[in-house]
Amino acid sequence: MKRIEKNKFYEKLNDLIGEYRVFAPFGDRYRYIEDVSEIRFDGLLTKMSPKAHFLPQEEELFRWDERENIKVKDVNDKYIVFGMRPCEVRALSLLDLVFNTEKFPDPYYINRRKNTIIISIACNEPLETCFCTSFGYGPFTKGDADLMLVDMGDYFLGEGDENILDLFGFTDSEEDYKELKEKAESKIKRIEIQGIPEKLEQIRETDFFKKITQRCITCGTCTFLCPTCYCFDIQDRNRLNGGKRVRVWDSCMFKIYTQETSGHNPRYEEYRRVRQRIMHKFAYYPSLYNQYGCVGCGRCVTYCPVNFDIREVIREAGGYNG
Amino acid sequence: MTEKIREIARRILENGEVELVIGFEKGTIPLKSRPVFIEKPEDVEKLIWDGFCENNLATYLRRYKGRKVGIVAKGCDSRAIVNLIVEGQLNREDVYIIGVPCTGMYDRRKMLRDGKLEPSDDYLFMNCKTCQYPTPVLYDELVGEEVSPRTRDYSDVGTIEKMSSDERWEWFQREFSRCIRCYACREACPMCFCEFCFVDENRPEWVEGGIHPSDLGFWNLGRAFHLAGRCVECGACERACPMELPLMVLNRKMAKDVKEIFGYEPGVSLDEKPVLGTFNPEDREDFIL
Repeated sequence: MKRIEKNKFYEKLNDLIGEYRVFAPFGDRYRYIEDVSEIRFDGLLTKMSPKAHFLPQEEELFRWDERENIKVKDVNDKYIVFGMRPCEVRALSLLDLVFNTEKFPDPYYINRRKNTIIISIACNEPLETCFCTSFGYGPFTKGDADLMLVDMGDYFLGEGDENILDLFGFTDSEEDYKELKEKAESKIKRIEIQGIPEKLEQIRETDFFKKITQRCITCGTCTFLCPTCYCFDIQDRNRLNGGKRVRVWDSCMFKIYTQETSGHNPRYEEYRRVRQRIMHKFAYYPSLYNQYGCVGCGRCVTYCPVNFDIREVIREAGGYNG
Repeated sequence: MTEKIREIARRILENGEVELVIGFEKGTIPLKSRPVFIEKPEDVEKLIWDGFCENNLATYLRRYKGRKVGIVAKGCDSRAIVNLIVEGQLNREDVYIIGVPCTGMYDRRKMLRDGKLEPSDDYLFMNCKTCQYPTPVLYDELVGEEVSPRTRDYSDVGTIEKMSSDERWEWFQREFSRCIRCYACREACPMCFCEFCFVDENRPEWVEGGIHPSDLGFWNLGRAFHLAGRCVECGACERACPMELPLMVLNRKMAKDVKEIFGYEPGVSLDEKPVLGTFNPEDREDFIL
């Protein structure tokens, strides 16, 4: 294991700002910082997940001028995302399945992903709403992070890419984080997901989804805060002397999302939209990629205005015999 | 009051007066009571009443048009119901109102931030602290003693009014730049019942998607203006907002102005016409540019 004093780590991170654009926790969300003193951890998880770096809420794809010369937006900057949690790192590996495919590679996403060093922090104190261990990983999983830190008070233990450990000046240490890891894992309440994809397919046309939808007001809070939700809309911004095409976040919870040009809307009723969200994560993702589309971060549980609780929905689906 | 609510719910479900009762049950996260939909008399035990019933259940009524529904309503919720009736969105006879005199709801997020689990007056929502209609204005049955109105106080609005226009613009831009366009405010609001919201309009696109400051401003101001003379100050939007934007300051400014200019408060009488739906030659015009 390697270790580094916190002040030394942050000093080095500060030095790297300039060469890298650093995306770090800033209260309720992440933002690109100019100085490490701006970093603000408000609890374990930011409200907005750091997916906003890889899939910005509003992203220019290309622009044109009055002569219709087209200029495609490059993503060449180098980035560091600091402070991601294991669930958020795992969410990226799920987004890769969608945006980094052989058939439809998304250059914007792929470039950002490729040009970004991910420094994650393990979760010593998981939240009441965390259920990550349900999905075969946990609060101390490094996953796709280039470097995972473990907070030891005055110092970090580090695990990951040797070059990055050297870059920051980590030194050897005899310590390990086994005990912290076990303690954290033992705090997390798992949900039972065995057989859920098949069960959801079975009950797709029953009243189950109408029942659970009663409470949902179909706002987009869950999907916008979710680290794995990626639905988007493509819009053209036409101006007098040119314009640009942008990609903006969208949500399957919105009625307009599936509204067709003819006026027909296959997901007009609320329950069809809620069903889509649940099925996408717990049935379609497994059948397409053999992975669940949920990482168990609990944001949708915590911030839902009406306490629509996905853990409960999965449990009820498992026991539904209607 | 919980017992009384259960008793009424059971009775109106059993005798077939309603097919559904919308009320509150205990939530799955701390200090949260959440909407529940009771269809069977044996499920009425789920119903509860406490200081964390922060949602306005009237927002669900648009889904049950033409059906008989029972609803648990605080003062502000009852005002929303009245306004829905006044605006032709709901028939009085379709809804059985279980009125709950309300002593105010507590801001769970603020409490949790401060590590408090016991409610106290410090944590009452601003609109509850200054509530003029704690007792439902319309009900079929009232489950408790009437509660006296609190002292009218718009000092939160006053703080913003006192700013210079530059300061105010700076405040607005700073606060509302945090909006993520999730529309939780709209969906939580009983008065936001448009079949097609102006912000979703895309032929042409009145408001562009994304988070450009002008679009965030347009959306939030547009929303507030559409609620002028209609907002019943229940605070459901602000309580729903995941980013905790000060939405009620805009809404309360509108409510205050409408009251001062036209002497009108929405949702307090079934007989009054909506303020923006009528014209009176005596109306003040000095605010028109």
